[in-house]
Amino acid sequence: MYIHLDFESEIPIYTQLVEQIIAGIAKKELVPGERLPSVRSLASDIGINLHTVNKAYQELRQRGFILIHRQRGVVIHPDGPPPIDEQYLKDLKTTLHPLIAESICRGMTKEEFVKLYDEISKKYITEGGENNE
Amino acid sequence: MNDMLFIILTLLFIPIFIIMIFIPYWTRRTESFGVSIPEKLYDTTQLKKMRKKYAIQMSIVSLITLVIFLPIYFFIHQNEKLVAIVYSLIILIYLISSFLVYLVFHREMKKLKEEQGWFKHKKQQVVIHTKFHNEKLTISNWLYMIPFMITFLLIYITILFYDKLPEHIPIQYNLNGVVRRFAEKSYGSALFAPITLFFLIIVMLIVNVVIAKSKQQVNPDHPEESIMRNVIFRKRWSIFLYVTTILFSILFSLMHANLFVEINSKLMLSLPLIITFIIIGGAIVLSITTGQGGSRINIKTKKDETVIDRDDDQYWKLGQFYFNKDDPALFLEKRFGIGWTINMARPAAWLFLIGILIIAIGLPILLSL
Repeated sequence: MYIHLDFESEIPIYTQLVEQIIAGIAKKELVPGERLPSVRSLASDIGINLHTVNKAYQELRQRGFILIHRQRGVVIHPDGPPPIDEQYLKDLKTTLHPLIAESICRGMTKEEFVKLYDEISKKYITEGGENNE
Repeated sequence: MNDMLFIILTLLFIPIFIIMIFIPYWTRRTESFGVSIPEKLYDTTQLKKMRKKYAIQMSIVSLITLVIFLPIYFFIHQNEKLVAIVYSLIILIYLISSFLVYLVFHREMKKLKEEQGWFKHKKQQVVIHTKFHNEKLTISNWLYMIPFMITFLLIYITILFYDKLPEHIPIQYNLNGVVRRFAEKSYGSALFAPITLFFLIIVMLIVNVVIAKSKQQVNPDHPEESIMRNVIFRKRWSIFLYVTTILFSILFSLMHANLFVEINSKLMLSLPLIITFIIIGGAIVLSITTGQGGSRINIKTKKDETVIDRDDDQYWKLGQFYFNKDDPALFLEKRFGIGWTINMARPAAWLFLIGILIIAIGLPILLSL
């Protein structure tokens, strides 16, 4: 899959990396067991510090999206993405809290908010083919 | 025979001149005189004029070089060693002069960019594909087994028939194919050709690996097209490198065989020239048809005009020397020219260059001791 990074953005590069790889998994552009480039190779191609890529990979590993093998390198978790667990629900709520608060401030209805979910989720569900690179 | 030397030296100028004059036409279309630009500006009349002006100025510098060389040559042509030194010196001065001409254009381009604000209202991005290096970017390294086998065969035969070798072994030829230096017979001098060939093949093999490993450079406004171009670019140069290695293996084998059996002297005289001609001619044809990063290959796809490659001018000192401490990449495409260069902020890249230089300079000295 293609990874697009915006160097002028306020979002740190490692966060962009994490988000894009998760998006790739959601779109099925990255399939379980698929190999990702090594830390050095990815950092060289992008032209950024090894630590930045390492940080992104570590976070993806902790959240259960990838495995880091000593020999086989970095792979998308063969068992598929992690399930919805208590921790994830808690984190999701924390993230959504301020977003929903602001939408209420601005007078957004629940329907409008849900419509946004539909719109965004379509990008992942309809676009994602089996091997869409 | 000295007329021959004169013709060869003059002819050798031509490929150097061609390369220096036409470089701006062979670079990536996202670069102009060492400055990154939005691709669609490459074909504007302003930049076209600049390239033309550069080509004209470089042609004049080239012509002057030739005009200076001719009388000097006739003045010193009796002394072959002096001719070699003066010739190298003239080429060095020519290269420095071309760099100065380039610098003027580089400055002008930089100023132009500052004034115009081309990168405003565009999203600067870096795009990479996660499977790029999994693709076949070069020919297989295993193919280099063939020239290695040739080398080992030469070494084996030499050791087997060591007694049959003459007492003095030629280790240096001039451009006319006449032996310039002999060495006393020893295993070192007897194996001079095969061992030199052996290291030559190693260097070529390393470069083949570098071509595969070097940094992925994708244009964000049309990533697919850009990857296609880049894959073809790498493959073509990898094949070129291999053909060069095979030609050298043939040349060295014949030169070495000449020690044991008399080989047609006409062939021995013309073969080095023919091979040099094929290699240099091939490199120029490849540069014209492929361009840097595959920029001259004819592929057209739809472009996204809202995004643009990241402006990395700050890492390109004088527009040509890449120095980026945060980038772990050792090798990447040259900016102004064809081929690859090193990340000068990485000591490992320097070690690599020095290593190759030591092999190139040290080996002939070591073997002729």
